[in-house]
Amino acid sequence: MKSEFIVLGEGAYGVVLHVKHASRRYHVAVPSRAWNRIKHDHRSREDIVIAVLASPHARHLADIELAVYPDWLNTAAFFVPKTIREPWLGDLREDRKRMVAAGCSRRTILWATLTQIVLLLLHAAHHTLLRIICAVTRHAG
Amino acid sequence: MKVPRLSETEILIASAISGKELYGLQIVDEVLALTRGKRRISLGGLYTTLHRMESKKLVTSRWGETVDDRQGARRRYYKIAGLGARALSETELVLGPALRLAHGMAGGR
Repeated sequence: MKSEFIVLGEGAYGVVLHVKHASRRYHVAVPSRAWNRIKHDHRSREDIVIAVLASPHARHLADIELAVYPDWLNTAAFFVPKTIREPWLGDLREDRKRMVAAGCSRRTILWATLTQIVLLLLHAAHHTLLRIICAVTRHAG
Repeated sequence: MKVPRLSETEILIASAISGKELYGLQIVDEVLALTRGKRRISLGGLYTTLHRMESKKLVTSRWGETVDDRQGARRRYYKIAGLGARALSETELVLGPALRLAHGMAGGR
């Protein structure tokens, strides 16, 4: 059984998560303080998911309209390798906020974000390809 | 243990986090400052390189806190490991004199 989650954003109900647990998927909202406590107490993603679903503060959003702004970054994040997804996405969001504070236009921010996504995908593809080539040549040698 | 060779990006990242524990955006800023604005690493390049360096045991990392701007995503802090520090000093030992020599020869022309 593999449990996984991705942070979708912050909405009216708190931090909204897309959670996969026991082959089922949920949208769960957890108040920010409870979320921070869960993350502090549990290190593995598996444990975090179990704690979120068991938390008395958690609220299932299946039958409630999702209380987050539609964010295309969350959709793009599904294509990012899991190992680096959370810190990369967080840094990208922080960088976007910095650009907003610096007075950059929406178009500039959009292009900067798209460039970051494309560069990440190219880097990831490059590393995967190199790994495969190394494995094949080592095997052949 | 054999000390691995470092690529240019790895050298820049290792230099940025030697003696300090930094997260992604701070590393990008530090590299920019170290190179006097001449090298800006993309976040994608940074994290794929950091992941590779971590698998080679050149750096270590830990989860940090989250702030409002990150919408719940935690920061990940990186610092150089013993092997990474050794690889960096070895690079300096090999490339330092070679670059100084080349610079001297170019200046003498």
